[in-house]
Amino acid sequence: MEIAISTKNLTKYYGKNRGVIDLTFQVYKGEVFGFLGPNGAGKTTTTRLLLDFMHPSSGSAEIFSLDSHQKSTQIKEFIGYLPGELHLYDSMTGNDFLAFMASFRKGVDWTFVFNLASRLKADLKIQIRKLSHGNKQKIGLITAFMHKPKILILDEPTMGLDPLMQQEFYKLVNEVCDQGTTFFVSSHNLPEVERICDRVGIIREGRLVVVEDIANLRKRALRPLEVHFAKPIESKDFEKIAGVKDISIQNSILRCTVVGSLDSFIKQLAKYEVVNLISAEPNLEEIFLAFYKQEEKV
Amino acid sequence: MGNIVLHQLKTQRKSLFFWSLGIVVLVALYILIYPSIQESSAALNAYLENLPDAIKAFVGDVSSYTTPVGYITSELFVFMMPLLLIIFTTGFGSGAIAGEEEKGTLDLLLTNPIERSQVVKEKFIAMIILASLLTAVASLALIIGSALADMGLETQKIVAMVLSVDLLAIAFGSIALFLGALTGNRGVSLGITAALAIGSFFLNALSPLVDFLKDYQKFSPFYHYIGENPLEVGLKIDHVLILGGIAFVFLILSLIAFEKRDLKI
Repeated sequence: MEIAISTKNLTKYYGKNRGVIDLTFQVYKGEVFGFLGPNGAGKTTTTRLLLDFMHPSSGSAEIFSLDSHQKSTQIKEFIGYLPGELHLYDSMTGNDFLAFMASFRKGVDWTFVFNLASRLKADLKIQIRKLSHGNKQKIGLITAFMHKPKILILDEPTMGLDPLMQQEFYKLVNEVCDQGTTFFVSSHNLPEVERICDRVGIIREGRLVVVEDIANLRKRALRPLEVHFAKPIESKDFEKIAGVKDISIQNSILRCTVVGSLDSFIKQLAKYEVVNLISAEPNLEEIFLAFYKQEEKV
Repeated sequence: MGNIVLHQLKTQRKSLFFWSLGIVVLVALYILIYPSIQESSAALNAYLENLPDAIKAFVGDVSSYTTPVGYITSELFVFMMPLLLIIFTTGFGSGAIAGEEEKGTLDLLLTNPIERSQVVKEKFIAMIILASLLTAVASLALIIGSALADMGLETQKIVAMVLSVDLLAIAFGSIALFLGALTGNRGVSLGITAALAIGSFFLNALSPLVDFLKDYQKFSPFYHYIGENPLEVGLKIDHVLILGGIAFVFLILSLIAFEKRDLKI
């Protein structure tokens, strides 16, 4: 498989402070690679190293075999980028801004651009300063996609988008990916990564903890659940079910964490009258701990 | 090529309009006052002669204050014009890189397939164009004003004077550009450049009076701007080369500083 992004012992320190340490990973052409970690873990540092906004303290990164620092201008010909903290020229309209950005590139297809805008329901005629955060984000996304880049580096792409637009964005990623485009998506949002990514690298405190297929990650996923029953229940009814842990019961409310498949848990639930089922977003920190425990065992 | 220059000119067009308006009003005001100055020239001359030397230094050549050349030099070019234009170029220069970096817009700009040096060069060119447009407005206002008020200023000398102030402002703008490119901090760049401008203004004004400063007057860009008054003697090539040289050196330093640095988040 052709390698789109490859880093080798990529390290960045800010003075004495850690940015990222010893990152070595590959992203294959045509895959959606998720870069998952809590805020401050080094995701943004990594994307900014790839874009040559900062230079590595040691190690290197290559994009389609071109050194990210030496050949950055050449690389940017085929990169689309959405920064985590998006700032546009406030006094311009969306149209003016896109035209300005397009003026640096050859052959931007405006039919495609306007199609993107209408899919994302972006208003390009309004001055950018008057747009909400989510609507600015749409213009950022169009900017990243508009020249049909070979690689898209997106830092927290759905931040501020409403759920409908998030779905539209996921669809867009699928379509563009089918055409052979590679994605590097940094996110602290596990469900999002699960939804769109093929593989995921998990970063914690500047170090890459693991690179996994999404399918394997799902097997280890921890889901905090809360079930409201019609009648009080007892904990022994759930203790013996595979993958269920951290059980606590308050009258008719059960709280627990389910590891991996939900199947046997759901089948047990079916024996009772369930009033409500609440699934919280899995805590990233818990997933990391799960990985660490496994590594220790090995 | 040139996209960023065009972008700058477009985004600055409103501010450019108001700056031009301000300059025209300023020139017009001083020209309107001139006839009354001339009427009371005898009294004024006597008064000026008795001023302490330190004050005289900031008026310019007091012996010629009531002549058109002396009046325009003292009122407009010793202080006001350079002040206004340096504020303009220093504001632009410090914001060129550091301002965009602080606002966060530099990220998207540099996502495009352009060298960092391209951004610096185009911003520099935009600064020259904008400052030159403002000084062109000033010279037009002076040429027309001088004709209407019958002051008899030579067009060529007006152009020389205005070019000189243009060069001075561009020199300080380049210093601001460099400090912004080096530090990524607009405030630091503005502050240091303003301090340098004020320092070199006083160095030039006071060095003829203060013994230990005498040998250092030539280190002040203000000396090369107006030490030999272009409104009287025209532009001298050595002064032009020095002011242009300062701008060029700081452009090169800006390119080097910005190329090596990590961008701030």
